[in-house]
Amino acid sequence: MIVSIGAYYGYRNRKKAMDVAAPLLDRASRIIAGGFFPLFIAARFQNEHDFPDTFLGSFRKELKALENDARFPLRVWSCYRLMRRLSIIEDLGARIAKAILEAGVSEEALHRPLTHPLWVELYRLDTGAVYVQAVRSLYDSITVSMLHPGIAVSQEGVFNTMYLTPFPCLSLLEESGQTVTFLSQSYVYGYTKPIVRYLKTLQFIRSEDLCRKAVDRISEKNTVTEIDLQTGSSPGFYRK
Amino acid sequence: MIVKDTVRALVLSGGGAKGAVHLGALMELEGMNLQWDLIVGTSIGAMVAAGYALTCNTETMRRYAEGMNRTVRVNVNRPKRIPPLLACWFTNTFQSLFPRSFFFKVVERVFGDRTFEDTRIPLLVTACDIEKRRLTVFREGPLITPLLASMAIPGVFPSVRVGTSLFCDGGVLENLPIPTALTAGANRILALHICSKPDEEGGPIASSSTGLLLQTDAFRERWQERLTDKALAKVIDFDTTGYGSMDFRHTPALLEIGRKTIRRWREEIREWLS
Repeated sequence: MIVSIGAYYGYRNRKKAMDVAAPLLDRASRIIAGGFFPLFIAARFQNEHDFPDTFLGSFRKELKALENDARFPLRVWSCYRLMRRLSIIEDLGARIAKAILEAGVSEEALHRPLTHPLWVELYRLDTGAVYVQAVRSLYDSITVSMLHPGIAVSQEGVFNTMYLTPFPCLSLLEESGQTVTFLSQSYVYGYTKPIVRYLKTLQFIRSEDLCRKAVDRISEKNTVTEIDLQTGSSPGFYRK
Repeated sequence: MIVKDTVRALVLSGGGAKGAVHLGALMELEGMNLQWDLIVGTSIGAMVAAGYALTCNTETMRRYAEGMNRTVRVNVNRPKRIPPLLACWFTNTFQSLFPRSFFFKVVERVFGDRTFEDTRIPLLVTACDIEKRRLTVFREGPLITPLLASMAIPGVFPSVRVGTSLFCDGGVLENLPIPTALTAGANRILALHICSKPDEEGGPIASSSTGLLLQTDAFRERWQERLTDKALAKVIDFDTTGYGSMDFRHTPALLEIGRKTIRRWREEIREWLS
């Protein structure tokens, strides 16, 4: 069974989400995770249960620092930075890695090989390719979780597909005869003004629409189940 | 749903200021004496489709297009370059770059009180329902509001309320509305697709996050098109590389691109629709 898992703002209810996902993750022959889920899943498999809190804590700290340094209201300031640089916070990866080590997570734990088949879906802007890559360690999971336009500095234009679709699905379009379980949750962002928030609303609508088309296509040649990460119910987040 | 053995539909994509390409294409198609059972359009394609469905006369449409070109040329091209900080303040404060009345004055004058029922060819117009998060197809009642909704380019024009829902540009979800034509029963579709650099997958990577996000949005749009079933459609790509979606200064050149491209495909189109 292939399990695809991901959700916009999935970290907000991650404990509930991981409880719903856990039995399926243990049975999966292949897990493809999006957003911060590679990190949550890797931490679970490595029995580093405090690791997600440490990661999210240091992430929040960096965002707070950005807010404190802002010379204008944060929304304008972050927009200005996004227009002038590849990452809203410079060296974010290195800063978070440092914070994690300072929190007591050992180098050995960070680099210990994962024993489970965990993958992440990536895309290359220069060639248009969408592909999956194995997550080999907890350290790997941090790197791939942050491969996001606006956060990562990727000169090659390689990012995870979280900005395209809330959960990985594009790499599964060629599969056939598989049992595929999609784990996600609906997220409604409903601002229609100002422009920046309005465009973000439409980004969510477009992503959801692309997922719906992709899942429909995958359903033609595979047995597909959708499970809501918050309720555990099926049919899940789209076909309620 | 139209019930006929062969239902021929003309589908017009979005493309902003590059919509003149559609008009050029229609001028050539008009000369081929083709019969259409249905016209489907989104965004600027909706406006051109509505004009053609009402008049079946591209000469009249060309005159209107020139009038619109003169009006918009004065207004849109004036702000050449906005400093980034000012752009950020603006986009975090206002709902759209232009008020609706500013740009759609001519559209309102042309379509005024016309309805879908006035069209000579059945017309479908698509727009994105922001609240229901899905595409909506308009096919009856007054034309003007659905057209304004279909052309409400996000960030450029404000969203438009139709009934109880709020709508924006149909191209957000389906820039080439082939699925809408299929759902309406079409089985022989000619789709006119305004695009840049057809067949090109990637490109140079942007040097800012904003650029990357825009590239990724375009990347997502390509996937949406890739997942569209095109078995019953002949898609004509109009290469408009180098022309901006909000640059209204090139109507004559874009008309010519439309005409030339159709001339090149004339025999295949005739065969496809026969």
